[in-house]
Amino acid sequence: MQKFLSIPVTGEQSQLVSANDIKLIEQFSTTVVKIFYGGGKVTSITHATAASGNEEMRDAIQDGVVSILSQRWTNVSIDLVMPKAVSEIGIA
Amino acid sequence: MEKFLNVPVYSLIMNGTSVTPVGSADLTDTGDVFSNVSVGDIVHQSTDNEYFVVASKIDNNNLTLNALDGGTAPIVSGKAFFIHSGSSYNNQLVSIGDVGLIEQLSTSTTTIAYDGPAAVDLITLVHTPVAAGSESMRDQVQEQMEEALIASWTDVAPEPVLLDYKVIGISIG
Repeated sequence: MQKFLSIPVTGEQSQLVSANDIKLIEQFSTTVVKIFYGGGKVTSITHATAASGNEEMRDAIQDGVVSILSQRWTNVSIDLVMPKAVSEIGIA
Repeated sequence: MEKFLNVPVYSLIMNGTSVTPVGSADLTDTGDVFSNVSVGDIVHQSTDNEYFVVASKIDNNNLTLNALDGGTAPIVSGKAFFIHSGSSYNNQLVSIGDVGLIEQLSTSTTTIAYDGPAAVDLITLVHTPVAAGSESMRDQVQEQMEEALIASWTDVAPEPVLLDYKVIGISIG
């Protein structure tokens, strides 16, 4: 049962990010949230600068993960409203 | 069915390096750096990995401390320290899917290893210390994981009840 976060990216409309097999979500810096998956894959979400110690971007993604995973299987993605503008999403 | 523990992580207030304690103080620094510190906050002296709770605030440069297991007060000059709130926290999701093993790695770290091939699939919880030889935090994490896994699938991320210890950091890899 595949689930995704639908994250608006500046100039690119929205991009789907997997909500499956996530191990940990971290506010890696004031401009990057990282989603760590099983097997070592990492998705980095680059966003407008947050205040030092502020984790509202991580919290927004966590809330989205919990919400979509608790919905029925026909709800495949959830549209997230991010507190900071996202400029890039990449995976490594 | 994906599940998480929604772990409370106690917020970092400040960090610094100790100077020679003044008078009855157990921790001294300069520059009014303890202005946001309160009684009950957690002091992690990271140079020697010792933990304390703030017993009283003499002023904004001097604290008295109660040592947790293994801590030695006063904290002498030149020790790095981090102070975390004893009451304010944010919740961080920690996966409990495909868990291979939970270990009490040290008195202040508990690890969750996942059943995958990658060495990076290892989460470390840093917490206030258990007694030497105790595996109490591991046991609590195990119990909370079991509770979460038998809950409804729509209850994706219950908050664990870690009665005796406070998590101050979570990392992966």
